[in-house]
Amino acid sequence: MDFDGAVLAHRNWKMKLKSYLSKPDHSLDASVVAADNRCELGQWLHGEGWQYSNLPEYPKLVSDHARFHKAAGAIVEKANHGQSVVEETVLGANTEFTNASTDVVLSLMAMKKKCDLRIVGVRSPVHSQPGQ
Amino acid sequence: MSLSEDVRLLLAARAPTDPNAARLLEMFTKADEI
Repeated sequence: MDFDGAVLAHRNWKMKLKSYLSKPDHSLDASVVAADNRCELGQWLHGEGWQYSNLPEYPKLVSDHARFHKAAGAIVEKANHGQSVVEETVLGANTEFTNASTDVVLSLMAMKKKCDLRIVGVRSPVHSQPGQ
Repeated sequence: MSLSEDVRLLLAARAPTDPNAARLLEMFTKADEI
């Protein structure tokens, strides 16, 4: 799975969660949702994606992903208790769930950009010297 | 910086043989202390 696939996996997981939240039937356990190493992205992060763990963005991605799942678990907990969670998950809402999700995608895109630049051999402006 | 207990255990298990896991674990531990 590449970075685009990782973003897609995250979006698909979120879509499934939103589908569940539209009609919570208690089939999802909040503690399972809160676990950040069970979803496809979580498996990738600590499996195939570990090859990128030396990038400075990696720990931020791990942290953002943990925040996202913690928020998702709290939302499922509320939904399973019959409380409304629409305001927390709606597109554009300024909540921990939506912010952490955005941060996950931004971190993945930043890592993709850095890896793409490495592949084509573009030097970072920070390390470029005049006349080189 | 957030680190789940599951991932902390995973990093701790890797740390003895993987310097990068050890580095990340130390980074998250320090972040927790701040």
